[in-house]
Amino acid sequence: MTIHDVPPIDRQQTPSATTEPHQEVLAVARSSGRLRGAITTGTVLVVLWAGFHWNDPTSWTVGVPMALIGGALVLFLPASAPLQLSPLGMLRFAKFAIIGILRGAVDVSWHSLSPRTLQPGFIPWRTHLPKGGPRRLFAVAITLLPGTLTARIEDDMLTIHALDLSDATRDALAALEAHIAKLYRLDHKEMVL
Amino acid sequence: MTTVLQVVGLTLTTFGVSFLLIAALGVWRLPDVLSRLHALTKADSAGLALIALGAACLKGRPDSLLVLGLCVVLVALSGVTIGHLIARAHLSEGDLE
Repeated sequence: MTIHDVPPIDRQQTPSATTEPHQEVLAVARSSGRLRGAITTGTVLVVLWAGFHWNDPTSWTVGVPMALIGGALVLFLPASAPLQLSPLGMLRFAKFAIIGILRGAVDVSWHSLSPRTLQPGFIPWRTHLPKGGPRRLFAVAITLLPGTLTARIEDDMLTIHALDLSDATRDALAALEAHIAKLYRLDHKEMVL
Repeated sequence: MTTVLQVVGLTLTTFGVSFLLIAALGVWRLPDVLSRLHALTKADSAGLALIALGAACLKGRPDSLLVLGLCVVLVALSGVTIGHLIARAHLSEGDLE
């Protein structure tokens, strides 16, 4: 469990006048996490802008303010714990995602041509991935992969709409979760159990 | 080499356009809102990726691959996000059953 997984109710029940030292440390850690996120997002936006408009220097009059605004908006989002990405995990996940996206497109195309094969329904899924990047990536990847769509996220509980309610879909979700855990180098202890 | 790239580019573009057309067909034929969202989010992303890859082959310049790749990633992410928001709004209307 990370400091960002502290249940909100604990913070609300503690009177501000009796704030303890460890809570101040938590607050600083949270704000520094947001700052890190804002700087990372601003840098990514600058790189993206450079990719799109590398041959038009005047475009930076728009690009720089947009990158600053984008980075500033992250300050309003919940901070996430710093996590390390595995380079090998990234390559494996990229391969898994590209194959999954193409399989997903073929699968939904097949269902579009013959809708009678559909057996749609909902799968409640409790994820063991921690808050922040891993859980967000899981929710995004579910929607891109074959036959599944993230319909609702409530803490660690996801409501997934599936075109097929067989065990194969649940196995695919478990495999995706395992891939993301490897990508973020999460071992068993770091998973939310 | 140029001819090979053109053939590969046209083939990829044709597959991409086919995915987009089938996605449109899916929106018309699939039975409910959430099932239609599957067609929009998945076939759209794959279709656009294949068209972008085909366009990069036809263009024949590596730098165009970077810009087209960024377009594909941003469109895929926005498609997934909007798909999730529509699904969440649909469920909040009490259609979970």
